[in-house]
Amino acid sequence: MRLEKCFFCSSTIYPGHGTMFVRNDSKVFRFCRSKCHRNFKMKRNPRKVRWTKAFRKAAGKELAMDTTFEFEKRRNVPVRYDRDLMQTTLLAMKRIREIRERRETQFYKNRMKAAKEKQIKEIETEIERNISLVSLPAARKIAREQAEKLAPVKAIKEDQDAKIADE
Amino acid sequence: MTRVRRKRVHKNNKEFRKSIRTRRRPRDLDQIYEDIHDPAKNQKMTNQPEDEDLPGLGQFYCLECARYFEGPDHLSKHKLSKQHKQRVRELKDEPYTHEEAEAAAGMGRAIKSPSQVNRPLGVTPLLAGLGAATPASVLASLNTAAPTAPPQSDDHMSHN
Repeated sequence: MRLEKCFFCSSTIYPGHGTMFVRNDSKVFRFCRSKCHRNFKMKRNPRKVRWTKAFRKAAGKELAMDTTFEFEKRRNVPVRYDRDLMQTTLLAMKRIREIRERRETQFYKNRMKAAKEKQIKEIETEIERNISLVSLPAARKIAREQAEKLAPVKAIKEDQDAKIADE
Repeated sequence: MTRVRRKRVHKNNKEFRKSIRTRRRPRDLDQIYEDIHDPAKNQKMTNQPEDEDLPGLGQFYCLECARYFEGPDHLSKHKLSKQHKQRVRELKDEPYTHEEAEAAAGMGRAIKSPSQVNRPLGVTPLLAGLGAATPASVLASLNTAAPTAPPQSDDHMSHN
């Protein structure tokens, strides 16, 4: 049993699933589902279609350059079953998976950190550019505070005016 | 005049359906890329023998678009067209391969971005530099913080 990879989206194709297209120069293309097959027939480039693994890795959305990707390979020589070998392999697979997941999480965090910085910068420039829209309430606030400060003075003056009027 | 159908035209469009079916499929980009960059194939495609069944006896062939034209005028006019220029642009990048799809799935690590893949034919950038690293050595380098991982030998990771 061999688990193939989809030509278009790079997902795993289990036996009995998907489509295989053999071109007239006998080159084989495997697809996981009709969606991928149809996209291939429309001559789309998987590197430019955003939902494919090829795009995500080429565009730096996912961890692409890592030593943990060097284990899984297409091997054309069958291996005689050996219990110890199987055990160590299974342990190694688990361990490699752990390491890869940790690195992927770290990669994602770093990527999001940069994105956050970019977002903050964008917001700052937007505020700077449209400061006239936000300065009005601020100006109002200052005016209000000044009015409160001058209120007692005004009251005294009004009193004096009233007295003058009485006289 | 009757009403021209606009809805559901995508599925009922004979031309569109014909263009995407795999029977009589026009040459793919990777084939054309080889036609251009492989000297033997290039020679063969540019100096074709006269064929009565082809337009212009098969003498006016656009290599990039894999199309035959009636005569030199048609060919030169085609070379100025938008479609041709578009195709030339598409052919600048190295074609996408099944190996690249597998690398993207986690089998192998080097993925090239579209701008990085302008390389001459014959160099397989995806797996270049991978040959030296055996899983055992890689695991040893990984293993600084992993005392539990057992030693690893070649040729049995994908054994099911």
